[in-house]
Amino acid sequence: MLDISDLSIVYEQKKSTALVLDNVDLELDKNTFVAVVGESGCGKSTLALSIIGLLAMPPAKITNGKIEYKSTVLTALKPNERRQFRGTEIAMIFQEPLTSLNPVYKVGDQIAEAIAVREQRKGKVKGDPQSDVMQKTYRVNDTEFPSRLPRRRGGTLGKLLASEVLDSLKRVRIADPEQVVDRYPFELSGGMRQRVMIAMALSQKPALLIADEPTTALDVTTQAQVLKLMKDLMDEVNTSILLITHDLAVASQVADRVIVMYAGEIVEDSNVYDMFKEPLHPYTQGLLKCIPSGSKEKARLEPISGTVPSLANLPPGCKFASRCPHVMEICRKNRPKLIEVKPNHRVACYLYGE
Amino acid sequence: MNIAGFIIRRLLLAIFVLLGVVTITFILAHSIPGNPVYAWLGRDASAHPALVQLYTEKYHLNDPLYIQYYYYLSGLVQGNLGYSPAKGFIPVTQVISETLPYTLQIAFFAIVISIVLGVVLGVLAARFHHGPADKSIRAFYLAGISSPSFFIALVLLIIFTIFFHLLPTGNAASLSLAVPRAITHIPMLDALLEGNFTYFFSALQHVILPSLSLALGTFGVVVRVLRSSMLDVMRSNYVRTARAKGLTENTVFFKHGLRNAMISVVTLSSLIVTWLITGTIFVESIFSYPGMGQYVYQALLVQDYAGILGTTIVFAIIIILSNLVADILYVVVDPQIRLG
Repeated sequence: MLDISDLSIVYEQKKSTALVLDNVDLELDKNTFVAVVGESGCGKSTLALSIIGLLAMPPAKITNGKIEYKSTVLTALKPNERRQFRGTEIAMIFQEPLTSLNPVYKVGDQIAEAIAVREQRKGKVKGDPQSDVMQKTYRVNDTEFPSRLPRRRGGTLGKLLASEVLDSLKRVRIADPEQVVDRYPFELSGGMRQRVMIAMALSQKPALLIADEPTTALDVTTQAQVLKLMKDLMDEVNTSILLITHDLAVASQVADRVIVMYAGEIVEDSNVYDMFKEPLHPYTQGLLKCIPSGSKEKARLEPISGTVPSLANLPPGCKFASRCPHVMEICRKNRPKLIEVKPNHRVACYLYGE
Repeated sequence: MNIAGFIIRRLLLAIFVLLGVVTITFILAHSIPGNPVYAWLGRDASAHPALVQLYTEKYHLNDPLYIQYYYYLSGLVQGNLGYSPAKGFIPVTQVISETLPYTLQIAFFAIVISIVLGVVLGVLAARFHHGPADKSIRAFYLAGISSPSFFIALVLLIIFTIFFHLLPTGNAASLSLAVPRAITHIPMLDALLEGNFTYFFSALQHVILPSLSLALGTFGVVVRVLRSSMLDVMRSNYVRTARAKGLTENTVFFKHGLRNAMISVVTLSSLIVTWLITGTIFVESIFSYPGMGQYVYQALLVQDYAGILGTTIVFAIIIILSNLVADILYVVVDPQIRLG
């Protein structure tokens, strides 16, 4: 469905150029829950934003590779053609549910707007900006409406949308959706806001939902609820989810497949069972040692020593070499490629393969 | 929050503000040295010492300041603002009721021009920021902000009246036209209500230069505030969400961005009213427009205590009311204040 090949993105600053994504190669299938795990600054958010096309360019610049979605090369599209894919094909929810909803509009109106975008696009040619301009009306439940977004929910269109807005809130298990539609975002709790964000994104029926640290700002109990909700909804609404997180434990709870990123590169990619049972890359092994396991054998967690190299000044060899317990001669000279060492298990490390 | 209760509380508070304004202005006006009767009577004063004596006693000028203050306040609570030497000792309330409507006309057009011009140019500058439109708008408003309104007034006067004879100056409308029947007491509004378009357009021609010179000095602040808050808002997370929904950039900009950025313009609007209303003092004098601003200037020249105090009270009331209106508007645009 989504095919990212050899994607490299740099951030150009006045004095230096930081390589934030380095030859990222990734394929996503339908109806899978994929987690991208890595430390802050490893490029996972840049990856997410580049897929949905919200990366600010400049300062960011794609230097290599492409993103292909259902056989359309997204990275080759003009901004207005690219927009046609946002929301209805690829949707996204963000880390800060507190600030990600517009403070001056009611929750229900914001969801209605998302649904209206979806309805407007029905029966249109993807990527053709002309069809967006030409279409003067659109239909909801066999009634034709002028092609502008609803301002008030009082009108006929508003009422038709209202029932769908309620459905979308019910879908994310919000108690009392009739009350919540008329609330402003600041009247809701963090968990509720994130549910509203999810409801809004899924109301557009996207094939891929990108969730960038959706639970980081929430407390642990709410985090677990929201994660479970996302997992349940994935099957209900027939969508793929790309979860961006810094927390390997979060990934292990929900994901089918885990991708580990380090300094702008994918270092390991495998299904969740193999990843936790038999992590191959020394970085993944290190990350796993940082998770409290619950067993009493070891009282202390082992942090990975050293720090991530500067993305503006990368060493020639493996980026993890300076922190790796198994470092070899070759690691400091050459950069290992991401290769498939076992079926559906890719790793970028000289310890494996040749 | 109950909106009626809020307004009543603010109005009660305004009484104390007004009392403070009266007291401070009273003390300041009376600390100008010399017997004001000489300024009031002009040449007659040196010729008739008895007259000076008479006026000094009539207006209690030899009494201690607190006695004079008492006299003024007791008049004030009865609705008597005193008599204006600058206007031949007619009641100040009469002068104000005759001149204030004209000042309101100027202020109204000045506010409309500066807000409309400010919002339109601010939106354009933010929409095309760092482009040529943005740069020319910034140069334009910087020139406006940096020039005092009386300077702009002189420049406009020279260009439109003296060089091109496009617009008239002096008076509120052509003197050959009768002032329309007083319905609202605001001549231009009365002319419209009466259907007297000849007077209305004549008045419009007379009002345009004074209000434009006021507006050109203040619209830049609106542009500046709106542009920068718009650029801030466009970087916010909810704008990113709006883009992620697949909305067009115009919808994102106007529906999600502008609505939030306008909150800062509302805050600014009460300040603008203050600048514009006090700016009328200079501008009306330059265009000899028969408004209250010109009267303030005349009253100041001859130490007309009653005139100075009376007009200051009116200015204070206008400023207090505009602040109240801004607070109410604030509640309308920002739901967090409404319910929080």
